[in-house]
Amino acid sequence: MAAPRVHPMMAVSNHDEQSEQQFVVALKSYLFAELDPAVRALSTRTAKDVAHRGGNGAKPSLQDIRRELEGHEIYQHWISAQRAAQELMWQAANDCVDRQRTELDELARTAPALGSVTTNPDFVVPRYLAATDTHMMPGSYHVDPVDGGVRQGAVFDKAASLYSLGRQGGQMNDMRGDTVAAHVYERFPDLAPARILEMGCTIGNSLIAVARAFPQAEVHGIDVGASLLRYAHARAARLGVKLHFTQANAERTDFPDAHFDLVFSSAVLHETSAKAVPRIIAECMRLLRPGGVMVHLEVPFRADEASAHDLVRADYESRFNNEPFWMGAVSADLAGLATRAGFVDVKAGFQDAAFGPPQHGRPAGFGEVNKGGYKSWYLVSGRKPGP
Amino acid sequence: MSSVAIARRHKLHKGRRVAPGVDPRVDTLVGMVLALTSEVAILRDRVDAHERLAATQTPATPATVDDFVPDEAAQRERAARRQHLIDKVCRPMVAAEAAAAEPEDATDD
Repeated sequence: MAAPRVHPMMAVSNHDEQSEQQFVVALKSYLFAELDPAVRALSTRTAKDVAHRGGNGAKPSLQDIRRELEGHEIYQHWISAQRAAQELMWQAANDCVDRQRTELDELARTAPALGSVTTNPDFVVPRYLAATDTHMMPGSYHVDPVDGGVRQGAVFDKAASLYSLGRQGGQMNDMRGDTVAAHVYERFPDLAPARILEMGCTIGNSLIAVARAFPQAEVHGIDVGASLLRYAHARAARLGVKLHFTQANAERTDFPDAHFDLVFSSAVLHETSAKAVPRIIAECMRLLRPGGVMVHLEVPFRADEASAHDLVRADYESRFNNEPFWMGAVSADLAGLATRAGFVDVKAGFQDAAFGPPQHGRPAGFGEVNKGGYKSWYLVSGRKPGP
Repeated sequence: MSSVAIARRHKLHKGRRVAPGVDPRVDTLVGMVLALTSEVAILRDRVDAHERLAATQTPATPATVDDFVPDEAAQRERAARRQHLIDKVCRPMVAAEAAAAEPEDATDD
């Protein structure tokens, strides 16, 4: 028999599809182990040379480093091969899902009547998401098949664990959700949310983890893609979790004022824009009841403390992995933006990645130390003033 | 968007860029070589499934191969072969870097 499903909505991989996916993981691992160190050494050497030539002790800019790197064969291959591996990853997920699209759509249609999904045929995708396909995912979050269905959501789920090499909570991909919950337990131990909202929830993988941490809460997620949300709803319902999904723009939703006790996002802000981030924070303020909590989890990287290679890697994500606001988000003063929006008790720092559901009353590792990718996340959180 | 246009959008991502300084033909070729390598890896695993089915006197039909799940030992062997294949295909990229990092000609020393 074929490899078992991870959860009831996950597309099943047959023999060849399994091989195709394992090849992608092996190739990505190879590039990380063999090419990345060579580019790291080259970036470090180049940064030193550029600084030496500058002669004024100033840290060289990314643009200066990049100009030098572009002439090196290994840097060129690194970009081409990484992009090819990413394209093969989406191809592998597409191959597997498209073979069983009818069955997956049927599984979604017959999912238990638990929670809800509300899509909007007139929804306008924000320009920063419509302009390029994020992560090079063909069709991105929002280009749905004519007949609706769950195709984009199923592809996203299938690829997610290949993308992070399983380091974000295996094939359930719930580590970021557990990390948000751990952060709330640690920083706001008295918060007992009656309503929770996740902005940019994609297939609900983080939202399930947060719902698990607050079982009494009514839990909502919004995203821009109808197919993603149909899939998210079916996935949660078939896992027995009651979640409500709505197609909406995080900059301005239709929820009433003061409707939520906890609003969060997980690795979303860097996929928006410089203009959108303050609007999203303002919308969090509007949506929270007095005393409610906002949490944004971001990539564990800050431009001001980055090494030359960190900058070169971030530049790759921005320019070639189609996350154009990556550099902007990791350079932005998110805590300052939250404070200026009126939040109090605002803190930004690094939260240890939580592997498995967190426990109340146990320190979860929030502080100033960045332990690196997949070990830490950068979090900013604060309270809306009030009781 | 028409269904044809959507099918195309589900195949090719929007916003593909080639890095400045990179010969676009080399860039395309890297993508094609790695895609072909992926097919070789799949085929090699399929041959492995045939051989393991034969060892248990099971006829290798499309269905028995599609449903074949390798045990842990077989998975380890497959992973090692896959690794060797990737090492072999990507070696020229790493070799070029190693050569570039070598010291200058030392025959005058």
